[in-house]
Order: sequence, then structure tokens, then C-alpha cells
Amino acid sequence: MNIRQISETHFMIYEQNEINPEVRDKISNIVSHIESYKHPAILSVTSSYTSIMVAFDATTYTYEKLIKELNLQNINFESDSGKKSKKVITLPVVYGEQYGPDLNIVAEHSQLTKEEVIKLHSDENYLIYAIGFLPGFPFLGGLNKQLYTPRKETPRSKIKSGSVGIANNQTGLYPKESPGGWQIIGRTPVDVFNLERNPMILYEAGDYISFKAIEEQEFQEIEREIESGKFDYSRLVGELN
Amino acid sequence: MKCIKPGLFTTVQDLGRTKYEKDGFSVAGVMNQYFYNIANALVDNEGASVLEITMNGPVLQFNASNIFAFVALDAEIFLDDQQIPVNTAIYVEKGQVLNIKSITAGARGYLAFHKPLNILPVLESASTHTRSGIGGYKGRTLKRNDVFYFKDKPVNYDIIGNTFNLNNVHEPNTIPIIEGLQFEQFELESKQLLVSQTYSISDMSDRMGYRLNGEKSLVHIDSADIISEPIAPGSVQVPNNGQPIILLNDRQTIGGYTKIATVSFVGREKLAQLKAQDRLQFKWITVEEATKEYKAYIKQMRQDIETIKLKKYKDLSIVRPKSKKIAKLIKGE
Repeated sequence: MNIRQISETHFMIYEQNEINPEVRDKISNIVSHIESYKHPAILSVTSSYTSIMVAFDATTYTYEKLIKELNLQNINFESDSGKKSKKVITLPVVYGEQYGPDLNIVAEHSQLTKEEVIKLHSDENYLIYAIGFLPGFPFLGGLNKQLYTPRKETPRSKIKSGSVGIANNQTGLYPKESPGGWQIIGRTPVDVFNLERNPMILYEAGDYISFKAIEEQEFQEIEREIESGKFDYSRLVGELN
Repeated sequence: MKCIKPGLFTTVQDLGRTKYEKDGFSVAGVMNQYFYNIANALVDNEGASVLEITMNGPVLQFNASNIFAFVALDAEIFLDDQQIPVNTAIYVEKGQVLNIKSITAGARGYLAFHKPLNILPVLESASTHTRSGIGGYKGRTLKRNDVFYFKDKPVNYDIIGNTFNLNNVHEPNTIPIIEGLQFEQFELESKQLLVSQTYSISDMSDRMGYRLNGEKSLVHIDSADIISEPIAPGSVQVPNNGQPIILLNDRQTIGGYTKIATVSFVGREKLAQLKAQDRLQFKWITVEEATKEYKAYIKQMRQDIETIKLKKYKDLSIVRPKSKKIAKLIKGE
């Protein structure tokens, strides 16, 4: 672990400089460690693949004192990671057709059938390395190499909220309508991001997302349940074995 | 209050949405905290949301009486057709029209109100982030015919005419920077070049970031890319073309360019008053020095707020020399 002060009010904690689940695991542990302190001088904690940024109130606290109190060097990762649950959010997705207009492109590029693409894509538990770009936009790791497909040459000006896509070695979903260049292979009816709901975003960095293929009919049922406020979000939540 | 003309870039802001960066929400918030706090102190409404106005301001018609203050380095502003002073709490009656014609010194001004703007906060903040369409007035800049409402509040007439001379920032175009997180990934000459050459602020600069143009480019030892990491305010990132970009309030929460430096808090306050085509120079300081300056700056700001609060000021001449209406409202006159 390497801690560096960025400015009067911000510092960064780095773990090993590589993208892998073990490092992200450590990052998640450090984040929980810091958050569990509920330190009054800590204003925000943001994390990504290998790093954590902390904003603190430099008018009431010094960097040195804060670092000392947080006692970061003494986090016992082994005992922590054993206890920590691995939350998986399973998102139902209709692949192809108007829900995933680029499924054909990914299939052709990978020299696979559409069914094989769907199987490979929905077989994986994707670790959320970071959330950023847009509110609730997850940076996921673990896409099967066979599915790597370049971005669209011309981005779409409007991608529907819930759209699931692939861009090079990444997969993910648009939590909100947005322009974007990803190859859209499907869409989930689940509103992963909803300002009016608590929690506003169904997952956080360090959790996992998996996709489950469903039929159009089920998509519409879920959509109706969400609209009428009857959808049970807890049915999406599971644990990684 | 109705917007008759929106001005160049007018948004609702407060101190920003700081706690939700982890969910991908940009912080946003006022670019200049000192001006913002002075504006709210003048109208006795601390912590309230204000209109942040860039260069050319809006024309606003009041549908209810209120007290406002427009804080800027200098500006031409009119109430109906009468020119009024900046940095002064002014009483406005229903029907009157405020025209923030232009900011003549600096780049940004803050319009604060005694009766608070009625803005529904999003995630504990009224700040507008225009890129994601979140907060403020429908998540965007002001448009013609937008209508604002004020919350009711017992009016403190004592504050009318309250005025304050801003503590002017020293060397406004010298921006202090701290060594960045990827400082080691730049050649020694580049580290020196950053503080030896003069930069001009590009036209493609906004609340998200200021793009700079320098005669010579900075050179990475290796590459411009790093594993994406959270971005601190003031981060000076350098893409492959070697021209620095200073990331400010509306920046994305994470990004993957190397950062040679970080502009200090005080430096960012200065930047908020610099505009496209303005020139600036950087100056290396240590993080300890930055912290010292920051504390002194915040202390001064708090003192200034106290001074405004304690000032029992009754000098009418500066407010509106010809206004009998205001005179009537001030006790003892």
C-alpha cells in the first residue's frame, strides 16, 4: 500500500498497479475499513481499479493525524476477505432484436452464433472495478476474450437506459439514456439507477453483476412491476459461491 | 423571478455534491467559494443556492420583493434602468428588472438572494451538473422564460445596503501547483517547462476543465495513459499532445490520463476568475505550503463573513442615491 497526498484536501491510496480481482478485493476492504470509521473529517471516499481517493476537511484536521488514526497499514486482509460477502446482482436481459441491435455484429466479429454469444456473456460474474463516467455506470471486468469487439465507428446519439453493451475488452450497461459507442447486445428492464429509490444504485464497486437471458414477455412483466412499484429488487441479489 | 434573457452560462450552484463521487456523480458546485460565501453573507443567507454567472449575465424580472447581492470583481449591473453597485445588498420590489449586463473584471459572479431560491436539492445539493443534467434548474443552464420561486422568510431590512470590498487575490495569474500523482512520469525539462512558460486559456474551457495552450509541449517519459483512477479537483492532466488540462468542478469522477500537477485550492479560486484567452503562469509549491495557504484563505474568508454580519451599516449614498423607496426601508432614515 502506498499513500500519497494529492492536495490540501485529498489523498490517494494505491494498491499494486494491476487490474485483477485480488487487488480490487483489497481496495474494497480498505474502503470498508475507512467507511466503518465514520470519521467526521472524511468527506468522501471514491475508488477505482487500484486506488482510493479520500477527501477530508483540512480546516479541522491534518493529513498526518488522519492517516495515523485510520491505521491503514494494519488492515488484516485475510481475516476480512474470509468474512466479506460477495454480492452478485443478477440482471435479466433480453438479448438481440430491437433490445440488442448489435448482437449480430458481435456474433459475426467473434465468429460465433448469436446463441453462443448470449451463453458466453451470461455465463460470467463480472466484478465491478469502478463506478464512473455517468452516475451508476459500472466498469466491469471478466469479459470472455472471444467476445471482444471494437466500438462502433460512429457512436449512437441515444442509447436507451438499461442497454447492455460491449466495447473492446469491456462489457457493461448504460444506467441512464446517453450517447455512446458501445455495441448494444441487449437490454435489462431493471432500473439499476433511480434517484428516487434507496439505494439509488443497486450495486457498488467491489460487487458483481451477472446477466440472465430472458424472453420479451418477462421483460415487459418486470417493466410493469417496476412502473407500479411492485418489483421486488431483493430477488436480483445473490451471493457468489 | 422570471428569466427574460439567460446570459452566457448561468446555473444554480451551491457547494457541490461531494458525497456521491463514488456513485459516478460529478461534484459540481460554485467555482469560486470565496465570492459565493461573501454573496450569501451580504444577503444574510449562508449556505444557500445562488446563480453562478459567467461573463454576460441574465436579465431577471422579480415577481416578488427580495434583497439580492451580486458579487464579482467588477460588473455593470442595472436595476430597471439605474446602474447599481456590485458587492452590495440591494432591495428589489415586485416587477423590477435586474440586468447583469456584463462582468467587466474577472470571469464569474454570484447572485445571492435573501429570500432563498426554491430549488429542490438532488442528493443534498442544488448544484447543476449540465453534462449529466442533474440538479439546479432542470439540470441545465438558464433559458428564457424560466421561472424561479423564492421561499418565504421574514425579511431582515437591516442588511439593505450592506456592502463589502473584496479582498483581492494577489498575483491573480500566478497559479500555485503541487506535484501531481504521476509527476515522475514526466521528463525533468517538462517539469521545468510547466512553470517557465506562459499558458493561455483555450476557448474550449468550461466548468469541467480549462484547456491550456503553451508554446512547447510537455513530454511523457512513457505514455499518457494510466489505469483509471479517481480525479481530485485541480488535477492537471496531460494527454498525448502535451498540452495540460486542469480538471475543475464538473470533472468526471475517474479518468486515465497522467497528472503532472494539482492546482491548489487557492489556485482554483483564482482560476475561477480567469477566462478564455487569459494568460497564466504556474508556480510549484509543496503540499505543506498549499495547506498553509489554504488555511489562511479559509480563515480570511470566515473573518470577512463575520465582518459583514457584524457591520451595522447605514450608508445610503452607495446603494441607490435617488431611491426614496429604499431610504424608507432603512431604519433611522
